[in-house]
Amino acid sequence: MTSRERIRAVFAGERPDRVPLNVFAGWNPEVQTRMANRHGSLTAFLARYHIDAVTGVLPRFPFGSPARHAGSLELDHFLELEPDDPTSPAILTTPCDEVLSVTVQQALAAHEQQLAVLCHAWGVFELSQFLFERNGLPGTEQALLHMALEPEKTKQMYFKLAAWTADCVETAIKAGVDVIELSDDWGQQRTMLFSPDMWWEMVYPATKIILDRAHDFHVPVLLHSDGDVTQILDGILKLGVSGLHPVQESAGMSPKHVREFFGKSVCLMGGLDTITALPVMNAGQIRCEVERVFAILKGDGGFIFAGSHMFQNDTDPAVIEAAYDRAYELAPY
Amino acid sequence: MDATSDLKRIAALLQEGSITQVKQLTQELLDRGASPQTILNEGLIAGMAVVGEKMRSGEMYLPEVLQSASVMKAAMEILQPHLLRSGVEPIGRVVLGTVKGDMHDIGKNLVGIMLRGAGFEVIDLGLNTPAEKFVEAIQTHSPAVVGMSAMLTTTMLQMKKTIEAITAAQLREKVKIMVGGASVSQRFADEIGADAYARDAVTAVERAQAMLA
Repeated sequence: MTSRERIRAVFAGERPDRVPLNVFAGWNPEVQTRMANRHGSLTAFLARYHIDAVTGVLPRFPFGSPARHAGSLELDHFLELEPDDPTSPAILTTPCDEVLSVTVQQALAAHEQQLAVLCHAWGVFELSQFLFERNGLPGTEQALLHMALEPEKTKQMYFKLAAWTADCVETAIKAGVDVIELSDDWGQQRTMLFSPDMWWEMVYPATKIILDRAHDFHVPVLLHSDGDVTQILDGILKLGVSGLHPVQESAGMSPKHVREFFGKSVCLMGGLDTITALPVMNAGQIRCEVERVFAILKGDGGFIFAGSHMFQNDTDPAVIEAAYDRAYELAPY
Repeated sequence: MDATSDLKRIAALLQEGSITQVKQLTQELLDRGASPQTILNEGLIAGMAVVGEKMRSGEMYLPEVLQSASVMKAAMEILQPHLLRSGVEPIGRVVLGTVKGDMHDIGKNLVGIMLRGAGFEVIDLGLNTPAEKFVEAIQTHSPAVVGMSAMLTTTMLQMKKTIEAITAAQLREKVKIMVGGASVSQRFADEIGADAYARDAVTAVERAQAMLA
């Protein structure tokens, strides 16, 4: 199987020839430089360690530059603004930021190597945080506070943001991406950021619009949410996602429980914790950790081995390499 | 309605996030001669204590907690001049910051909210706070407690460097140091010589109270 076929198979609920291997979304600059120096280029690293996919990232400022987002804490301001044209080629060629710098257009070049191309798109809660951005930081508190203070306006905003993301997703799909990676952090340590009731009432209906659009084109959606989202697994299933990332064990999620809950209907991506495993383990320990994770998640398909988030700058490249080496050894079905 | 019922009502309304009613009731109680300290302790702080417990038990989530905190803040604006005139002091002063290199602030802010809700004065140094800024804040504000937050393994080592800087400035004996954040553990806190580790905002309040006792 080619990498692209392998990724497509796992999202279709079929057993591929081996567990696909992936990193996640982008690279912190220091670790990227160190890895590129060791292997000649990042592309060479991906080839050497049998990584099956690359990710291009969509912009996350629906209303243009960050400057247009700053200066208001009022939802009315954003409800009146006209978003950037989501059908414009600029959506595919504008880098998200310095870390998530690979554009969808750049990622699509990986099709030449028969790698799968994931398109990292932004969900409504995460986008809403960037409405209130200050000094380059997401306005998480404001986004959360508005959910409580102005639920109806927040819902309206979510629908507006969902319409924009759905159009961006369609543009990316028409350009040829294989999978939509929808990023929306709903969890925190051991619980959700907001109540499951609030999620069902406000986040679910808007998110469904994005999922439905991808499904109109028969493209699978991999949901990325940091933190513990155990409380809404039924909702995630109902959204129609084909994959979930990262199933964050260090935040309190149980990969075993999630695997049993979803069976093979939802593929799980992750297993390589970028906070509690990679930076604190040596090469021998990480090999054991990868074995532990494979014992839980490999099953008969439905698993993509990947980082739980972007590799942190204090991670020893040799530990990353040991993890992927061991994963490749364990990968065949 | 008597003052005790009104104080319970303030506590309940604060939990519901009813800003207008809490402000109104706070003003009414002051007008009727109630002690600002009693309103603070038995109304607002009592209400925030329940909010903290409900957050810990999973009954309340961050949007509602932030809403209650905004209610408390609004009521404190009414109460503060009266507290100052009465010579009422906060139960303790805490200097809080996310360490150098770390741009995550929701956890640190939540700790600040719950500390203020428990009657502490909080000096928030914000994000990406270098060790020297912590040292300077200790010299300026003489806090009882310094709280440091880090989400990442890449930045949690800054906590050790900050403690070293505080020690080098001969201020270590004057403050208690509390650490927390997703990557931090009790073991790490012990290793770097912190006085306390708090795994969440409610625990941070308990640890701060215990260190002042």
